[in-house]
Amino acid sequence: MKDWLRGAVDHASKLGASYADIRLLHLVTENIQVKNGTVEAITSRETRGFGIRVIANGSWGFASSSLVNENEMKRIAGLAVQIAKASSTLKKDDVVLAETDIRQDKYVTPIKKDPFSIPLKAKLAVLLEADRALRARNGVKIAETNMRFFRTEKTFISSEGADIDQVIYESGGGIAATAIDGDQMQIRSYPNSFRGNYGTAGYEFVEGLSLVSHAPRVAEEAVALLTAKECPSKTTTLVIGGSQLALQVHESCGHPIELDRVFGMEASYAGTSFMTPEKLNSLQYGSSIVNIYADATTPGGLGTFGYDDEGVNAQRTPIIKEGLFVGYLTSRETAIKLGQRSNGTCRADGWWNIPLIRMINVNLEPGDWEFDDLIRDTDEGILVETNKSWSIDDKRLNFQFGCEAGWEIKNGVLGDMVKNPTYTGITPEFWNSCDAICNKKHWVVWGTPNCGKGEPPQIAHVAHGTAPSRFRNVKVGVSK
Amino acid sequence: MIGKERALKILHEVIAMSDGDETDAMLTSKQSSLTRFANSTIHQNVSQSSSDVNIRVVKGKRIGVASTDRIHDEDSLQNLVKTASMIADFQEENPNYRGMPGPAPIHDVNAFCEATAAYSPSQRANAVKTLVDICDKDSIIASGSFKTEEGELAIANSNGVAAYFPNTAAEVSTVVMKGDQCGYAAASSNHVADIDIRSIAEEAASVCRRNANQVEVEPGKHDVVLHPYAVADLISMMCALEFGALSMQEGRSFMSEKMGQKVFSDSLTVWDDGLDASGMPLPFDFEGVPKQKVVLIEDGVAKNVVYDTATARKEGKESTGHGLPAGNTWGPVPINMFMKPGSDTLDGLVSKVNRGLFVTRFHYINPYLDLKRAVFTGMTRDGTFMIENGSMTKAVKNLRFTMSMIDAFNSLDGLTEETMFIGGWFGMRVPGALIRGFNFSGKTQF
Repeated sequence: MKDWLRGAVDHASKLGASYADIRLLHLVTENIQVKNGTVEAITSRETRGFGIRVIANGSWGFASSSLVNENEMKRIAGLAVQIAKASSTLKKDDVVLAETDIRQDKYVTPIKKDPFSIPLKAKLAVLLEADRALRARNGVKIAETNMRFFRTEKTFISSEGADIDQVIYESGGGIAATAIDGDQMQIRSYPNSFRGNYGTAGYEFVEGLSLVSHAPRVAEEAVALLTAKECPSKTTTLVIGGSQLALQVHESCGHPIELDRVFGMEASYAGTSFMTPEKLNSLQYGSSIVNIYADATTPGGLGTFGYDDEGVNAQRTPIIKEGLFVGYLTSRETAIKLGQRSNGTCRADGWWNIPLIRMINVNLEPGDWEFDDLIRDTDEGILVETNKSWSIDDKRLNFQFGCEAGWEIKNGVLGDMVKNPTYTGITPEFWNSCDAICNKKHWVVWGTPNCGKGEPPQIAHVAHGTAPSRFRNVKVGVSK
Repeated sequence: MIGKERALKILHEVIAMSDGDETDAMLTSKQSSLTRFANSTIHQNVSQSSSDVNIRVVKGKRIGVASTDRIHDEDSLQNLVKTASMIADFQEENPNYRGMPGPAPIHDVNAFCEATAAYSPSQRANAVKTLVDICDKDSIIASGSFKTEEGELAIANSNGVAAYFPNTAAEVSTVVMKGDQCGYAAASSNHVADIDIRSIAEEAASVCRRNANQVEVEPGKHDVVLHPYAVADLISMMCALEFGALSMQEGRSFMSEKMGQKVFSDSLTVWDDGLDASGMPLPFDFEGVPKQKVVLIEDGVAKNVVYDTATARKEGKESTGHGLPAGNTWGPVPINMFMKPGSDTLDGLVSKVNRGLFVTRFHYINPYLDLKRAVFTGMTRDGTFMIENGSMTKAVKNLRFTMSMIDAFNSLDGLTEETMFIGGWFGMRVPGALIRGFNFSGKTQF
C-alpha cells in the first residue's frame, strides 16, 4: 500500500507539483442511542479513502476518492495538479510552506480497553440502566442516553519524505433528561449537553463517566427547572461551570486565534477575527490570571494526537499569558507569514477534505481557588452550568450563551435554582473581568466532537481544559 | 456516476444477502468540486468523489444499521450486511418501529444538468476571476466559494421499493470587503447556467459600497425589512426543529399544542414541496417514499407537520415522504420549503417604515434558547442599514437579536412579490419581509 501512496506523490511531482502529500484514512465509528427505554439507533460506519494535496504553479489543489487502488491514486493525483493549475490563474503570491521537521514515525492513542472489543450488550446495559434511572423521576418526558466510539487509522506521506502512521481512538457518551409541561420544556444533561463528553481514550473513559449514578440528579434537576424562577435580568457576578466555560473558550478564544481566519481565509463563511496580527503581544485579552495554551499533547484530550495532517508534530503553544495575547493556531502556509514554524494544528475531517487550521486542546490553565471558597467569596451573583445555546458575531466579539441551569449566589451561599439563564458580553471585556479560576482539582478536559468550519463543511474533534471561574459585571438574563 | 441500473443492482444484491425480516438499503454517490477564494485569490480548490451504502436490517422489531463507502468490494458489502444483522441480533425491540414502506409511484422530476456535472476547475476559476475583477474596480476584496456537484440517490427495500434520482447543484456565495465595509450575495440552482456571476458580484459590491461609516444603533424593538437571505436564515432554523412529526409527538415543538390554531400573521403561509422545480427538487425521501406537498402554516394557522413512515403509522397516517436516512434519531424534516409571496418590492417595504433597520442576512443563529416558543438569537451581518422616513439612510453596526419567532412572524406586515431561492441544508424559496417590533438585545463593535 505504501508503494501506491509514494507512487501517487511521485506522479503528482512528475506532473509539475512542487509539493505533494497523500493521506490514506480508514475510519470506523459506532454510535448507540437510547431514548425512553428504546434503543433508537445502533449504527456502525466504515469509511476508507484518500486525499491528495499538491502545490503546482504556486497554488493549492486537492482531490480525494474512496476508491483505493493504485490507478485511482494516480488519477486523483493528476486531478489535484489540474485543479492547482486552475487555481493559479487567480493568485497573487505563491504558496510557501514553513519549514518543519520531516518525520517517519508511528503514534497510537494509549488506551486501556478497545471500545470496539466491548460487547454491544455491555454498552447497552449501561445505557438502558441510565435510561431507567432518568425515567424513574415523574415529570421526565424524554430520557436520552448515548455512546459513540471512533477508530481512525491514517497514513501520511509527503514529497518531502514524511511517512507517518497513526491510530487514534476516541470514546464518549452522555445522558439527558427533558421535562415538558405545556409550553415549557427544560433539559438537564451529564456530563455535558449535546451528547456528553469525549476523549482520545478507550472504553475506560466511558466507564469513568459513571453515567448511571448521575442519572437521578440529572432527572431531578430537569423537573425542578420547570418550577424554578426565571433568571433575573441584571448586571452581576457570574460563576461559570467547567463545561460551559469550555464552550466560552472555544467560541471566544479558540476560533479567533485560527490564523487562516485571521488572514481572511474563512471570511465568506464563518467570518474573520478581531485578534489581528498587530494585536499580537500587545492586546490585553484577559486579566492577569488568564493563561490559555493550545496543547495537542494533553493526555486524553479530544484534540490530542501525534501529528497533524501536514505531518507536523503535536505541540504545546502559549496563546494567552497572564492575560496577554501571545500566540495563534497555525499551519505551515500561515505560520511562515508571521516568520514562524507551524505549531501543528492543520487537520482534515476525513479523507475527503483538505486540512484546515483547527483547534486542538485549547486549555484555560487552572487557578488557585477551591470551588467552595470561590462561592463563599461571592456576595451576590449567578452560577451557570451546562450549555444550552451559543452564538457569537463574525469577528468573535459579541457573544451570547444560554445554559441549562443556574443558581443564585447570595452572601457566599448557593441559593435558589433559576431557569433559562443567559449571559452576554464582548470578548476582551469579559475575559478581563475574570478574577478567580478554580484549581487543578476542578479542572476537566471537555471534548467537543462537533466543531464546524470551512467549505465544504468540516467537523473537527477538539477539547478545552477548564475549571469553574468567576467573572465580574456580566449582563445576565438577556431579554427575549 | 454509477447509474440507475448499477446502483439498484448493488442495493438488490445487498438486500438479498440479508437474513432480516425486512431490509432496506440506500446508495448515495457524489462528485463535488468547490473553488474557494479569499483576499481575491483562489486559496482552496477541492474535488471529492464518494459513494456510500447504508443498510437497515430488521428482525421483528430489532433494527441494525451499518454503512460503508467500500461499495466496489463484494467482501465489504457482505461484511456490511453481517454487521447490520449482528447489531439487529443484539438489539432490543423498538416499539416505535412500524415497518418499511411499500412501493408507490414516484413523480418524474428533472434536477440533473449535464453542464453543471461537466463544469471544470478552469470554468469555476474563470467565473471567480470575473467576480473578483468586478469587485477590484472599486478596490473591493472578494471572498467566497463556487461549488458544482453531481449526485445520485438510490433506495430499495425488501417490500419492493426501488427509487433512483440523479441531481446536480451549483452554488456561489461571496462576502466582499473594503476596510470596515462588507457586502454579501449568493445564488443556487440545479443549472450552472442560472448562476449569473456578474450579477452576484455587482449585488455584493453594491451593498459593500453603501455599507460605509456605520453608526451605532441602540438595541431595542425596531421595525425591520429583511432581505430574502435573512428570511431564509430564520425559516431554515424552524424547519430543522419545529415542523417535523417527531418533534411534535414528543412535545418539543411549538406545533405540539398549536395545531389548527392561529399562530402567526395572516400573511404567513409556508409549505414543503419536493416536486417544485423552482426549488431544488427531490421526488422521494430517504425511505424511498414519494414526496407530497405539505402546507405547514396557512394564513398564519398551524396546519400540518411532515411525516416519515414511523411517525405517520403511529398516528394511523401515511408518510408524507420526509424521512431521513436509517439510523437517524431526528425524525422527519421538511427540506424543500416555500413561503408565499406578497405584493410589495423591497423598496416598497422600506417605504412603509418610519424608523427601522434593513437586514441583509443573519449570522450564527441559535434556536435552542427555548424551543417551545422558538426563541432564537443571532447577529446581523454583511450589510445592516438604518431606515428613516421610508428610505435607507445610513449603514449600521451589527446588532444581536433575541426573539420568539412566533412573536416575530406574528408581526409580519408585508412581503415582497419577488421570491428568491436560497440554497443550503434547507433550500427554500422565500420573499423579503417587513416585521414590526423585531427585538434586538445587544450590539457589537463593527
